[in-house]
Amino acid sequence: MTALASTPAAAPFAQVQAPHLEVRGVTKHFVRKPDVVERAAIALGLLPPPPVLRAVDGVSFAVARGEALGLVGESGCGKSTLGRLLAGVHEKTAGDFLFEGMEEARWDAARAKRARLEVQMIFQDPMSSLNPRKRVGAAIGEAPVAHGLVSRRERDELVAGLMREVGLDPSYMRRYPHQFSGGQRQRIGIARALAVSPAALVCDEAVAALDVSIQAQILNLFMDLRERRGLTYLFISHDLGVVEHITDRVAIMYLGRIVEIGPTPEIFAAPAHPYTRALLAEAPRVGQGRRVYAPLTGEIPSPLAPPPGCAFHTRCPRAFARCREEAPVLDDVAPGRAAACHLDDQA
Amino acid sequence: MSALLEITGLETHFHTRAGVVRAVDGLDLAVRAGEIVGIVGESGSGKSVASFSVLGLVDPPGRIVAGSIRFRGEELVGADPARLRRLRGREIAMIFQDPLMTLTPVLRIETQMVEAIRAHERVSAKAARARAIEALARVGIPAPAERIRAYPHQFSGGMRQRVAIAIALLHSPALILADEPTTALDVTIQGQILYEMQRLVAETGAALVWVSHDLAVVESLADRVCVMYAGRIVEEGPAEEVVAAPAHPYTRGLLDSLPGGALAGARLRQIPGMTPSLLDLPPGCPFAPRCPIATAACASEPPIVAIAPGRSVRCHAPLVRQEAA
Ligand SMILES: Nc1ncnc2c1ncn2[C@@H]1O[C@H](COP(=O)(O)OP(=O)(O)OP(=O)(O)O)[C@@H](O)[C@H]1O
Ligand SMILES: Nc1ncnc2c1ncn2[C@@H]1O[C@H](COP(=O)(O)OP(=O)(O)O)[C@@H](O)[C@H]1O
Ligand code: SF4
Ligand code: SF4
Ligand SMILES: [Mg+2]
Ligand SMILES: [Mg+2]
Repeated sequence: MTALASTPAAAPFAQVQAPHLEVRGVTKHFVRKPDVVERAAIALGLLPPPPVLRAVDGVSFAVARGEALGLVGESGCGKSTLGRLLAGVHEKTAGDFLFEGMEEARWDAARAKRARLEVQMIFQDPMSSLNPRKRVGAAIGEAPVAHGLVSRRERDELVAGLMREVGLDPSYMRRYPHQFSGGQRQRIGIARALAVSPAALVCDEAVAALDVSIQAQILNLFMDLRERRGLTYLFISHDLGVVEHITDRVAIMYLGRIVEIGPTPEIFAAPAHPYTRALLAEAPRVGQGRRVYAPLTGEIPSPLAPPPGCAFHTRCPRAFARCREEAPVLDDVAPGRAAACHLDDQA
Repeated sequence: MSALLEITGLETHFHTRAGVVRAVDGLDLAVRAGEIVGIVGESGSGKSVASFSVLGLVDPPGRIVAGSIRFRGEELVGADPARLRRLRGREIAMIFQDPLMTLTPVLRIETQMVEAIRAHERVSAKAARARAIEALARVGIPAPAERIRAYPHQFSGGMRQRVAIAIALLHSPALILADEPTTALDVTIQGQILYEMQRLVAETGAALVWVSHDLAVVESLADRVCVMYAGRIVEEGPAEEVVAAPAHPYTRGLLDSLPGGALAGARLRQIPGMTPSLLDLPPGCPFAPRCPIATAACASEPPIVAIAPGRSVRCHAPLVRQEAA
């Protein structure tokens, strides 16, 4: 059973002093709802029940307060799902979430409430989370009022302060989202997330839709906020240049699991896992000139039916017999660095 | 050699209550068969409106007010909507920034792809389904035979975009207009899509117009890059040359603001100021308020300066000078 290999284990970073946020063996499974015909067929035993999609499968890591952890991996590997689990948007299927070192089961009501507001999300498309008919001031001030953090009367003052902090003119408070540019909307999204005084932000492709000059402004804003507020970041991005620039550590995901994690400069300089190596080699960089792209080699595995053994073995240039049978566990390869690959046991 | 697509003096304006938005304001672009042209520029510079203009998809209050768009010599400005509909999705394919422009949320992927095939070809539903599954596999959707039964919301953002790309490539189009198609994709899948694009261009001689703000991808892919600012092309040339030695101050600013080059954690360089409102642009160079080297001369219309064959810039003081003759 492949599931056994993902048995929760303590996150393998001894050097992280006081984890701000930690997950242990966190798992999220989706089941596609069968339609009427399929339901009947399943009841009659003509069709097997719809398969379980393992979007996130036994993931453990810890982030220190004020740390920026990058999360990269191919589309559909479970990054957003993991981010949403951390932000409490999704219910997890299994596993543990620790807040300041304490398991959920031991939280009192006050801590549970704080934990819920503690992690806020920033999305790629801020429009999708903004009500087009709501003035941006009301949108930014909505959550803190609803959660009783400020009174209705104090709201505008809070909103004005937040807008200034993210580089928006507070006199725009009464405008509607469509009256702003993409970069400004992203600032609105950030102000809205900051309104409940979170200590951590999950940025899910937060700068992907912005063009480079605006992207530079928003990245600078993220770095300013981190300095000013001591924010913890989970930074999901396909842009490896962005990840290299603003994260301290990076986790590489493949098919619902973390395959490598460690300090960003070290991983970019010398990736340990074959998948990380392939990923870094593939990223186009300015100044490299024309290039002939190659087709994917091997089969992209599906989270509906993960391959046995190492999930990467269908594409790994270095796969050997053991890889097809046994799933590698995420193990220390150097101080502060871990990777999940059988090659590391050979040396 | 005559161009497959030839745009001259295109002006697409939006007549709004606040005034005239000159979204595309004098665009000249020629694309030959088998050529890959990259278009970069910040949002609001008119890239999408330019592509929509080619397809006749500009909605009121927008209107093409001047210029010509010829596809295989046929004028598309003012062409019969039925003719444009026939061209779209078959000979001219468009991949939108937002995959939900192509996909309907309420229908299974399967239904949508089978319909897309049968709209232009007489094939059985079964054959269409097999083609659809094969197309999904080509853009890297795992377990396509099972996943084709899903609804768009059950796919990750990147997977939805791959489905939209698969639909665009179904009929081997002669011209593909791709508007920021891989922004939401990871480098592996992006590489696979770019491989499919290059293959299609090499095998069928299709022309590809790739709109993106990712300069690295454009450089890796395009024969030629056009930099757009405020509705016009301000710099044009072979991608490698433009990236190595930009001639327009705006292109220089774009390259300088890229992360990765500067020291990690350091603040990135920004282009000062904001994208100009295209409403009642003042005369002269629209980049002047943000340009570090602007002079009084920039209040007048900048000339198009030829730097080398196939390389030009629209600026009073290009950063790269004309090669000595
Ligand atoms: N609501 C849902 N119902 C069913 N399956 C889902 C749902 N949300 C996500 N999934 C599946 O879970 C897997 C992981 O999705 P997720 O959105 O986390 O990917 P991702 O890594 O963020 O990808 P991308 O880079 O494309 O955004 C995918 O196979 C996706 O189809
Ligand atoms: N329906 C519309 N009404 C008014 N202005 C519009 C409309 N659609 C686009 N525009 C304007 O046209 C300009 C170019 O837009 P667009 O082509 O979408 O830019 P890009 O694709 O380069 O980001 C922008 O200033 C935009 O605000
Ligand atoms: S465990 Fe085997 S298949 Fe997996 S990454 Fe390592 S060498 Fe490759
Ligand atoms: S014309 Fe003048 S303002 Fe415009 S880009 Fe050139 S130097 Fe700058
Ligand atoms: Mg995602
Ligand atoms: Mg656009």
